Amino acid sequence: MARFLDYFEPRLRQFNRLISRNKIFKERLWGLAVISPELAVNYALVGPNLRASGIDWDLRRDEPYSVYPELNFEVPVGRPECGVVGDCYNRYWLRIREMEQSARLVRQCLEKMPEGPYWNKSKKKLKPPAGEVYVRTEAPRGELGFYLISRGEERPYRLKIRTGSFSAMSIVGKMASGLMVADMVALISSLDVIAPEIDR
Amino acid sequence: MESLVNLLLRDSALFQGLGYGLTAALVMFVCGFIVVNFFGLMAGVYIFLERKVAGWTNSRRGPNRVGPYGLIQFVADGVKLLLKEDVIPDQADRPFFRFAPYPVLLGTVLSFVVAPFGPKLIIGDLNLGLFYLLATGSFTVIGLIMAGWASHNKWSLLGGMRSAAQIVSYEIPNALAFLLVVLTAGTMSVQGIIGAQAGGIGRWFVFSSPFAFAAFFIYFISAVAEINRIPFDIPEAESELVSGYNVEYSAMRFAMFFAAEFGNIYVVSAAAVTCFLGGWQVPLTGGPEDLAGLGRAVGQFLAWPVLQVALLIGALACFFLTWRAGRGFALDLKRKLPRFTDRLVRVNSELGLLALLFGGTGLILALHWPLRPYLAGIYAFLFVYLVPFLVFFIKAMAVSFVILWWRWTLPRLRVDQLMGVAWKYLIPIGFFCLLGQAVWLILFRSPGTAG
Repeated sequence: MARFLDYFEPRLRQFNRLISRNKIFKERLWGLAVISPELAVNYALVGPNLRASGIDWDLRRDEPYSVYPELNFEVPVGRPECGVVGDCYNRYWLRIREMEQSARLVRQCLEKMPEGPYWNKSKKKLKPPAGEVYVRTEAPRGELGFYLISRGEERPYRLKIRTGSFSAMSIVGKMASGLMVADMVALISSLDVIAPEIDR
Repeated sequence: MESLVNLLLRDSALFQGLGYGLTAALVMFVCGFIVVNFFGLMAGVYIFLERKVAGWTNSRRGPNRVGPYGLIQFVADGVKLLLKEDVIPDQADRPFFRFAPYPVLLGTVLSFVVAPFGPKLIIGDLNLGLFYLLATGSFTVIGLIMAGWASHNKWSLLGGMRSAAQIVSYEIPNALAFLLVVLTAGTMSVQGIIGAQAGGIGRWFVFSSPFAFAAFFIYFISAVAEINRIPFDIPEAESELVSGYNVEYSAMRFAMFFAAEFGNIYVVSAAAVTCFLGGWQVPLTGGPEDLAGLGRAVGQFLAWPVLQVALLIGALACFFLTWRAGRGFALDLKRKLPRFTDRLVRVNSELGLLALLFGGTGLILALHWPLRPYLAGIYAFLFVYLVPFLVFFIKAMAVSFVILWWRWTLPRLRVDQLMGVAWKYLIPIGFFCLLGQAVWLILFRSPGTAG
């Protein structure tokens, strides 16, 4: 793992040099499909899409879970130096920065990982107590929320998975008016809409 | 080719009996056949090289299963395309759909008439050579529009329209760069332009003035746009228009578009090399006499008997090495030196192939034994005609490598940005360079050296 990180980080810098400052790339993405902060919040964007519009919100830092309180990382937010705040270039740049932060997080985890068993022996059929719960974590595409209603049996009464791609897909329709056909590709990719993830 | 016809008529009674017309027709057919085969072979080479270069850019190897190092991959691709079902969409405009690939293919193949391969190796040294190249480049556009329209598919139509606009716009900077070359050389004939660059690398047109240097880049960019390659790939963009104007084509019709595109890479690189990089002028020699002298010297050296025997022994040793490498371990080192053999096993196949290559060359050179008295003459002939061809080929391959490399490195320009580059940047800079070059030639060119 550490070897992979040693391989990965210089490669990230290399590809960053190749692509991020490429004039053609910037022409395609700079100032395209600007999503203002109000629009982002109204359309319930999460994750990198939200942060690129200038809103500083990250579940790992603001509602920490698991081991995140002990880890040291920065949360990148959309900046005016890298394109208009909320445009495609900012979303792209943000994801690159998040890659760097991920590498940093993984290194810290490697250092801090305690010895001992790593296999969680849980029962194959779980019976959660009756009730409802909504748990959210910060996934690569934003907030991944699981809403679960259980009646105390093996099968859930209701399970809804809320993903970042769902809200990103909803804003594509609004943003796409006035764009050229070629820009649609840039828009959908920069919002990181993954079709299978929209409706899990 | 004309010189060949005249040579045959003068020296051989057989052809004299046939008369000029028939001899010319026969020679034309044979030369044309060879060149069209060369075109097909180059298309195949580029198909293979494109995938290999793609692999290397993406830190992987590219096809290496089909033949040794994947060299027969293009044959496999060709056979696949031949055997595919030919689908014509139901509402497509049939006559146009069927006809559309041919102008595209013709545009490429016809450019080979003025493609110089060596000092006298050209099908027709038209005195309008460069102009003819421009004309055949434009011939492709009508085929593309037909293909886009006849496919009855709005994405193909979009792709065809965009392609037409793009090619037509980029012909202007293309022509401006060619005009600059014609101005410097004084002739539009391709062999004349190459002849004007004789005398070493310093005489190449690209180094003749800063305006010509800029013109080389202008030409290169507009040529890449003419052949619809990335970064000007919009007409056939894979992720945006799903292959654009040729999406409804399958099997052999698609193969024609495909082959035309790759053949065009060669034509465009050859044109760049001809106009700016010295054509087939061999860098360190003066002209055919130097080459002939070199050839004679090499021939005399190779006729030395001791060398022949040594080469034969060397060839046999190489074949032995190949055989052992083929059997798994070169010289049975695995048993004797286990620490070294890890690397040796990995390099085994390369070692085997290399040994085969050296062995084969050695054998061929050793087999010159019976030809010993004639070797000087043969090698003089070969060096005068073959070395310039190899030099031209290597230069054209270097330029095409850049074109192939760009495909996997640069992002695509959006269509309005693409047109903007042509009309707002390349054309004004092209005119400026043309004017600048004219002034430069007046100021710095002494009257005697006009090509």
